[in-house]
Amino acid sequence: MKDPGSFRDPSGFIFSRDNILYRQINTVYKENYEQLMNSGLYRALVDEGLLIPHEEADFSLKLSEEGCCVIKPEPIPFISYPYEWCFSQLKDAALVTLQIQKLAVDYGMSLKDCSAYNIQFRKGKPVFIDTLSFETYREGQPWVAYRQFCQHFLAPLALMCYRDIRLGLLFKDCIDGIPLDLASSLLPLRTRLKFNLLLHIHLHARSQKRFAAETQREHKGKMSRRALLGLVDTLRTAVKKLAWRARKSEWANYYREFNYTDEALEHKKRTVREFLAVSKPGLVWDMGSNTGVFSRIAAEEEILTISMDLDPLCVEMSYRDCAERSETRILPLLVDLNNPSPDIGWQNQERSALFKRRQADTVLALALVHHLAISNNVPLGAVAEMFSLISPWLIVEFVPKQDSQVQRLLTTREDIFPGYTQEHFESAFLSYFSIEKSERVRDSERILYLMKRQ
Amino acid sequence: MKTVNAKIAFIVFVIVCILLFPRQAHAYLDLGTGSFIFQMLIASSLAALYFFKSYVRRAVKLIANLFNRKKDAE
Repeated sequence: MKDPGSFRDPSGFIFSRDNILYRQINTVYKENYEQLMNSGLYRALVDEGLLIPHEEADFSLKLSEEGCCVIKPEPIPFISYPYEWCFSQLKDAALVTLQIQKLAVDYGMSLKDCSAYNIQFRKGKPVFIDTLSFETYREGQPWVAYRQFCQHFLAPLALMCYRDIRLGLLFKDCIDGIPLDLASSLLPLRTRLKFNLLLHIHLHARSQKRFAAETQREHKGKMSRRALLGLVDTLRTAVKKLAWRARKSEWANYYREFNYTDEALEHKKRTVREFLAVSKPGLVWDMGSNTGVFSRIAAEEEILTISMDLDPLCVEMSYRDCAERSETRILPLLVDLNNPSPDIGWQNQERSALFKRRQADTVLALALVHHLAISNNVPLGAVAEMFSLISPWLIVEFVPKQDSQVQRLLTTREDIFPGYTQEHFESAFLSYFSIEKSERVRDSERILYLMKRQ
Repeated sequence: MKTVNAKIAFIVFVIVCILLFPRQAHAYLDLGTGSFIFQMLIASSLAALYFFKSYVRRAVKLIANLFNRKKDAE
């Protein structure tokens, strides 16, 4: 079965057979593929952890006549997209892409596309997954992927850094990266004083409009190898210099400032660990994970954990912490549960909705439900239903109304939640789950539940 | 200071090229062509900048090595 997101490239496509992922390489790409493998570039990229490794597969597995060979790439444990990444994840993805391009030119090849969707996260680090993106480098030709790099990486990073961190969400609607004229109009005037941004975004955008109607691409002059390396180098400097200085976020200090005594926090951690030992998951979704305190518990038990939160600073802090500790089992992602990533792209099948990707074996919903039920007016029954659709096991925390956190949510609004009680909470969830265990968190009135889907 | 002057001169050159012959924006845009031509316009200056940068990097590395050798000798 062909992957619905893999169809634009005539060089080949991804498909699956019996739940195994393969990539068909078409005859038109054969020479480039052989150069990739024989020149030493493939080996160099894989050894640096920059390109996803693959094995040669049986030729008879090909799906169509254009195929000349089939390869089996190492599967990515959990797919994510640029609009779900924090600032540093996108920045690291950009730097990896440029590092690959530089190395490719050294081996006589060049990237023919620089889509952010060519990067996925594996063991905590960005890795390039499109093995068919490499073509023979012909000196004199400009870099065909330059426009795409600017739209997929430089423009969104600059917007997130200089205008607003939330502009990364534009990726959801701009399927081929952020148009440069849009980025140029949104960026503040002071970015025109920065050499690399002036060049690669503002002047680049003007140039696109100015020369849009040219009938020939061949203009006077050529682009030497040194000029291409200079281009890659200035792009690298531009990306490196972008640093997001985050303002304080109300969420980032949550565990330090609110509610938990040291003993309570330790007790909660112990209980979550015990519950995980019962459900024994292969994959955990930690929803509303804040800076990933409890994702770390799951990761310590050798469980792959997707750590989701809607605050960009929390996801950023979580990612940086993982990078510092060389954590390989946690993937922090930016997710708003009130509007999780939908199906988008061609026929709305190119990039899959969050809930259609690899399902969790256990969901952690700690200090989360009161936000959905009270701040977002979602009835408890609907919350329970949502969890039941995405995971067979659930570790959920009930925060009662008398808790100071819920009282804070109610200070500026009318209490229209008579149904928000422990009794109603349990009965709402019992429509979908059975309660296997429950434990009151020490020094508080909060209750942790381990639930199993019926 | 010299690098800053070079960068400013470079930018002025590119702006002049782009603005010299203003044209009507056409509805059927091919953005790729603009990016191609833009690269050609800035190519030689990028090459010069890259050469200058790698030259400076090499010089700094050489000096650093000389210093280290001096330190080892002491």
